[in-house]
Amino acid sequence: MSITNWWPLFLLVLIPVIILLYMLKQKAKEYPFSSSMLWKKIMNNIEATTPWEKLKKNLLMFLQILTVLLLVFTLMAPYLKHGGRIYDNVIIVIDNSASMGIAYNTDHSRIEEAKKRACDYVDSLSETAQVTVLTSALETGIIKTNVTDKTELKKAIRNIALTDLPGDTTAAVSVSQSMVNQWEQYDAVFFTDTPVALGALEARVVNLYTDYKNLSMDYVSYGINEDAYGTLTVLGKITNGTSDAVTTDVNLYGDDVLLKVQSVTIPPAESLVVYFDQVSFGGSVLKMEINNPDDLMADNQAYVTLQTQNQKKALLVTNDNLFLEKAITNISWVDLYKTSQPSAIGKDDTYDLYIFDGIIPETLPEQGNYLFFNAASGEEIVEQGTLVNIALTFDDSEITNYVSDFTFGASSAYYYERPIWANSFITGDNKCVGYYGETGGRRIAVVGFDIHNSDLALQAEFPILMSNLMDYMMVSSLVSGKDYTTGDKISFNGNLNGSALSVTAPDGAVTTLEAAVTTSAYTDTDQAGVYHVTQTIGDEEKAETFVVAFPVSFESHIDGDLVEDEETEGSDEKNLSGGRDLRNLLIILLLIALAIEWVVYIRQH
Amino acid sequence: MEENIFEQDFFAKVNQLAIAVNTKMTHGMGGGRKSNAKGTSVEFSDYREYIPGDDIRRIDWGAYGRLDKLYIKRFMEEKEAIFQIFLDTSKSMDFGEPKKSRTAIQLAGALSYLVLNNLDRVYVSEMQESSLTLGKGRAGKQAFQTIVNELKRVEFDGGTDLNHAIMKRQYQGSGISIVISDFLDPQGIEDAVKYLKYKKQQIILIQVLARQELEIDGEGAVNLLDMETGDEVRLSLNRATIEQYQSALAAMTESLTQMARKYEMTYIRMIADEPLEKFLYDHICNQGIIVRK
Repeated sequence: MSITNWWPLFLLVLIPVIILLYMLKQKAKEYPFSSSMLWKKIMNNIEATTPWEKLKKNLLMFLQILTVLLLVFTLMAPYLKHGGRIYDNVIIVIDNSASMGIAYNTDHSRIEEAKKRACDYVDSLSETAQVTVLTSALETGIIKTNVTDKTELKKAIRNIALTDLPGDTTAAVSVSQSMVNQWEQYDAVFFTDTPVALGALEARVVNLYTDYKNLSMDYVSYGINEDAYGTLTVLGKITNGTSDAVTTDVNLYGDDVLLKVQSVTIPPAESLVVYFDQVSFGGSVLKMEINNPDDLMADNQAYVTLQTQNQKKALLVTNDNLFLEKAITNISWVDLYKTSQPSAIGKDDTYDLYIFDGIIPETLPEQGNYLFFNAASGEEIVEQGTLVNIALTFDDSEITNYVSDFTFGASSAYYYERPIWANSFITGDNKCVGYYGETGGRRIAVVGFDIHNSDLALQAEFPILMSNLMDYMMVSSLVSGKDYTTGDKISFNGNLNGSALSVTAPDGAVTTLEAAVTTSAYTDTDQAGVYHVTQTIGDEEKAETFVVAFPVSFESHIDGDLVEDEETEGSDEKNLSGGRDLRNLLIILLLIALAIEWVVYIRQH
Repeated sequence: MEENIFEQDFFAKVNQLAIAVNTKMTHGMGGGRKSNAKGTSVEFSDYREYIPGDDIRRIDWGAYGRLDKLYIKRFMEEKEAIFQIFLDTSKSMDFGEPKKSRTAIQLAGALSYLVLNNLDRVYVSEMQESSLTLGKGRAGKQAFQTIVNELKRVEFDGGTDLNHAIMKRQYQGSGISIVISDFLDPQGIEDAVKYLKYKKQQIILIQVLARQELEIDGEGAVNLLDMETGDEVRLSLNRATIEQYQSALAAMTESLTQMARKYEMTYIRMIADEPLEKFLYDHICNQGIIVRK
């Protein structure tokens, strides 16, 4: 037993006061009466029937003393310790990874049970305990830090949402370890269904693993048939995590419209690949779903997007220009190829962009766009002369977004006669040193100097210019890939000239990302399902779809034996509570005492 | 008891009443009550043959003419009834508002008046502890004032021992005994009742209780002081104890009622604050003890 406050002890002086008042009150007044005959008779009766009469006479006093004692105890906030320890600092870690969505019992899931137990544990803590609440999935979320308000804590715990993320308690252990280092004594409790490598951390693990029956839709994929209609063959892998053979319907949806259904039987503890052939679908997302309720519903479907060419290919023809190479390689959606031999360019090559650095082949490729650096006269290019030691400036144009009016120096630069279809974007001495434009369905840009002969490569404006150039030369896709797993960080290739990107998660939550800072910027992939990303460029709205898969390999088929054997040995989940706050009990007793006192008073008067 | 306890108009009302007597009188002076003796009243009783020495004025000459024998007419003898009023003058009677003693004196006076008014004889005796102060036998209306004066001088003090006090009264012949008391006597009254019954008395028990004895007022711890003995009873006055007291009082009343039935006597309870004439008319008339003339 431990006491939170000692000051209420001074209220004990009320007890002698009550006794004194009763003693004063007890001084009976004289009551002359004709005869005591009948009174003596009833006194005999009372004494004969109730031996507690003396106590009963002062029952109200005893009840009042009891009430004062209970009041004092209540104010002292006594706290019953379990295991002889009381904690000032407590860390509660709640695993909210995907597997915690597995049914704990018929009523609720593991995470519901975890939250319930965590709330019970919070209730059992002393009023002064400072509690930190963490969530653990792929990463650690800090929900509350050093909070003593139990209502606030319980509300925060109840608000913890289940994710579809794979579980990894390493980060939570690490965060906890760094926190407990500053405390002399603490309690750390992990509510999880997976093994926890505690290391040096002295923590308790509440194992919420329960046997469960689960079928998982591991993945779905497709191939395009070489037929006249471009039909698809779709395949999906289903794993039966139960010890019985399961027969289930498998539904194939295309953009949420049911396309085909197939009934399959999966042997116990085995996987089965399901094929759907001759699928006619021209939409964007295919979904395969197991039509059989089990203990984990989140992994009963898988998605795949129909691929459009997202990555762009560029061929850099140069004698060795590292500046260009590095600048372009940094752009994630561009696959850069390099050659120093213009003759190596094949006729059937399908590069989206050819970058010629100081080299102009005799015949230009038939497909793709051209970007020339340090180009002397040639096909489509009319060189008028050379400027020496010239200051060059970026004009205000589509290509020079964010870098317009920037001035840099070049030791020498060609200047050109600007074609009628082109816009100038670099000028020196009022002459056109660089231009861009579209002619005959092909985009062409020309830069009239060698990067090595300028200080541009050393400026921050250089990669921006290159990014702008790539955006212009190859119309990019917003999303680099189309198929992710929960917890992945996603890079978007937003057009720098477009609006902010808007990403809509499966639950309808919308995230807005600035086009300029979209690299690895999107991390809210904690739900499996179909995501939509949109960007407005000029008047045109560009919309793309990508899917995030459930982490089946991590979360769908956890080995229960592993959990129980290794980690939870010795964890005393039955006796989790840090103690018992006696205040509520005392308040109830106080109310009962008051009620009894009231009844006794009414009966006596 | 110097205050004016009898009002004039009270007697005007009481004048119309008389006490009914069921017992035939055997002793006493001539009066208005039937007796077994033969005497000089106007009420014919029977005939008897003349014996020398009889009053020749009583010979029925008509009978002599018809039968040629001398017969004497005999008449009923009417005697006075003898009333004993036993007044409890213990200290406990000096309780209540109005005091039971005042009501008891009024009652004794009123009953005496009725008795005297009916040409009967009344003895008013005072009981205190186990002693009995026997009053003189009074008859004739002129004696009433004497009785009133005596009643006014009564002092209420001491304890109660009704049995011994009553049994000190020596009787000659039948009569009517009226006991006015609160009967708050731990010894009870049964011995006295048996004694009176043996003495061929028509018994009337009148219990006078104060309103304050019926409806207890007060709460909390009290030192209940017995006015007679000075005993102190320390108790907590609350609803429960008051209820117990009231049921004990009811039990006492019930026991007196049972006793009255058993010994063929009359038991009446009077509350001290009850108007006397109302009591006489309502209770005593209803019981048939007093009849209208």
